[in-house]
This record gives sequence, C-alpha cells and structure tokens, in this order.
Amino acid sequence: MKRRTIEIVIALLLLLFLYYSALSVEDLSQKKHRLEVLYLPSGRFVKQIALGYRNLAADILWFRTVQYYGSYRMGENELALFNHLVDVITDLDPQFVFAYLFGALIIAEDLGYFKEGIRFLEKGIRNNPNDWWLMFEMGFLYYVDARDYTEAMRYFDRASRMPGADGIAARFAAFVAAKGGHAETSIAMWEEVARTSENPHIRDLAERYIEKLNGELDATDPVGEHEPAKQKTDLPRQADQDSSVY
Amino acid sequence: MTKVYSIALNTFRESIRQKLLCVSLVFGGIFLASTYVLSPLAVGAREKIMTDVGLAAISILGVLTAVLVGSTLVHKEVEKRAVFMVLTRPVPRYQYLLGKFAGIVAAIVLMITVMAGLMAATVALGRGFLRPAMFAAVYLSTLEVAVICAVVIFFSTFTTPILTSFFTLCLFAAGSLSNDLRVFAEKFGGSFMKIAMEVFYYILPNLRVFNLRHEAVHDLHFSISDLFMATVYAAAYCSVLLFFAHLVFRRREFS
Repeated sequence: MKRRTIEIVIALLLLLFLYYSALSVEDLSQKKHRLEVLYLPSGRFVKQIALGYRNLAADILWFRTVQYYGSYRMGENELALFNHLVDVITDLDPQFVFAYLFGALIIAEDLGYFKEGIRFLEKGIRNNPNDWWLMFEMGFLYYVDARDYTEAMRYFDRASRMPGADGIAARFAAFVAAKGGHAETSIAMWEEVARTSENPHIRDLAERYIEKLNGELDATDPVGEHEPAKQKTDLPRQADQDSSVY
Repeated sequence: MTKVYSIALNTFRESIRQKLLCVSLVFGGIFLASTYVLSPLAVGAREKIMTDVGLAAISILGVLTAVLVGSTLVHKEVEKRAVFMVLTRPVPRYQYLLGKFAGIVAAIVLMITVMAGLMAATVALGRGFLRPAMFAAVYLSTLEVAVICAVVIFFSTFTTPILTSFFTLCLFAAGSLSNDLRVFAEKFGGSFMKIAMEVFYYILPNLRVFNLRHEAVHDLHFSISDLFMATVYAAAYCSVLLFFAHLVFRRREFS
C-alpha cells in the first residue's frame, strides 16, 4: 500500500514536472511555429511531397492560415506571410473557392494591397471560371477599395449572368451603376431585377430606384433628351471582351 | 476454387482478429470525428474539410493497414510452420497466394466500408451533401488498397515483414510520384534518363488513377468509363504481381 502511494506521488510529480517543462518550451514552440510559416515551400513543392493527398495538405494549411489571421487580429503577429499561405493553399487545391474569397479580401482590406488582391481573385477565376462568387467579389473590391464604380458594375453584372448567381449580384450591379453616374444603365438593370425577382420586396425596391433615377434624369435633362433606358446595355459585352483571360 | 475460398476465409478471420485492424478503425473514427469537432475552425470550408479528411483517412489508413497486416501474414505462417499444414495437402501454391490475397483484401474492404459509413454519417451530421463522386472515390481507394495488398503479397514471398513494409511504402511513394518523375526527366533529363523514367513509369503502379478525391470534394465531373478503366488496370496490376509472387513462391524451399 505504501509502495503504491509512493508510486502515485512520483507519477503526480512527474506530471507536474512535464507540465512546467512544457510551459518553459512554449516560447520556443511559438517561434518554431512562426518559422514553419516563414519557410513554407512553394505550392508546387508541397504538391509533390503531399503524394496525392494535396487536398488534405491544403486543409491543414487552411487551419494554419485561419490561426495566423486570428493571431494577427489579436496583435500577436504581422500578416506578412498571408499571401504566401493562401497562394500555396490554392496551388494545392485550385478549386478551394472560399480560400480565394477570404484571401483576396484580407490581402486587399487588411494588408492594403488592392492589386495583389485582384490578381489573387483572377487566379481564382482562371481556375473556377463558372463561380459567380469570385466575379462578385471582384466587383466588390473594385467598389469598396478602388471606388471604381464602372469596373465594379461590370463585374457585378457579369456575376449576375453566371449560373447559380444570387439576385444580389444584379442588385449590386444596378446600384453601383447609378453611383458611377451610369443612370440609364442602372435603370435598365433595376428593370431587369424588377422583372426577374420573385421577391415582392425586391421588386418594390427596384421600382423605387427606377422612379428615383428617372426623377434624377429628368432633373438634369428637363427637355427629355436622354435616351430611354435600354433593355440591355452594351457593358457586359465590353466586359467579356476585356477579360479574355477568364 | 473451394480451396482458395477456404484459405481466403481463414485469412479474413485471422486479419479481423488482429488488433491492428481495430486500432486502424478506431483511428479512422477519431480522424472523422475530429473533422466534425474542428469544423467550426474551418471558417467557411466546413463541408470541404470533412469530406477531404474523410476520404484521405480512408485511403491512408487503408494503405497502412494493408502494409502492416499483410506484411506479416505469409511470413508468420512460414515461421510458425503453419504453411506446411496447407502446402502438404493438394493445394497448389498459387491458390495459397490467391487465398491470402483475397482474404486480406476482404478484411480491408470491410474496414473501408465501415469508415465510409462513418464518413457519410459525419458529412450528413455536418449538413453536407453526399455526392455519388464520394462513393466513387471510396471505390477507387479500395482498388488502390487492393494493388498495395498485391505488392505486399509479392514482397512477403521472399523477404522479412520489415523489409516488405519498407519496400511497399517506397513503391507507394514512387507510384504516387511516377508521373512527376517522368515529366521531370522529359524536361531536364538526358536520353538515358528519359528512357529509364519511361520504363519506371510503366513498371510502378500508377496510383494517380485511383485518386478521385479532388473531384469528389468539389463535385467535379467524373466518368464511369474512368472507373471502369481503373478497375481493369487494378485487376491487371494485381494479376501480374500475384503471378510473379507465385513464380518466387513456387521455387521457395521450406525447412
């Protein structure tokens, strides 16, 4: 019995010793963790060493990236290696659409590299040409970061015409067109929204916008020389020509 | 055929009694459960990660179990002289090998089926979609494991369990990289290198054809004819390996 007690005491002491030694190497462990991100090889190399499990490798890196971003939000590290992380993830899994969406937003918003964010989304669109979310976010970045309403309108409009696109893309396109001074295009887009939407509130909203924009056009052009809103503008065709890369 | 069936049944029973198979299954269960628990950390990629990890766990654990269980099967019987019990009867040696192969494949198919069921339950619990491509990916992983079992049986006819495991894992790595090595040789190698890599490319198992995990996760198109061709390839590769295993085993003398 006495021997048993001694063994239990020794085991507890050893566990305590293990706990304190684990605490003492915590700094070293965190430093190693940062170095692992710093020395993360290129996507092509990771793809080779992942031996056919590249999606799994992408998922593990995704968890790392989320942690890395979380640590940045808590003020524990910079975001300098974020681009590299999301680039490797999307090299490993080119169809990981959410990584493009999240990555581009962080690159453009938190890091302030608008052009790199756009380039990253372009990579996403090249790999996923039928995904409307990527096109939508492209428009969103042009709208929010660059305040380039014409470009934003073109991308929102393209997104709205893609398979499976949510009605929000068409509404954003119409809204941004008005903001960019393309009132007639905006009216045409709102008319399209009013015609196609199944939601009565959205139809109502679209009609109010049409009324408001028509009022604005009448105010700026009282003789009524402005052209009536066309059924379809030529802007989407322009967008298609300009973005042959997709 | 009855003899092959009897040996296969015996091997199957022996395999499922091994602790290793249960440990693999438990590990697989933990793997799959962890994806469900950790999925909130995935930030928007919940379903993708659950499916990715589930399919990868099935493939990795299937291959490892095949290597670890299979490498000891023939060797243990030779060591314990149990092989004499079979070979002293009118059982041709090729039937013995075929039975061993069928038994171990059946045990691992059972394990993969249980894991696939667990994966489907995890995905369904996570409100994900169960797509036909997922089951096609599991089927191809089963074929991959069958090829690995044939490799294990081949090596275990002439070497020790440790070397069998080592050689099989090397072949698994080389089989996964064979296409990259070939492309590398085409770009940077001399003419000898190119020929050597071409030969290696066709000799090594092309494990890439058994990988439908990416398509399953992203719901990409896959054709039934690809599945059929992969099945034919797996059957051909296993037949060749078992034939060579028979050639080695036939000449082997037991003392």
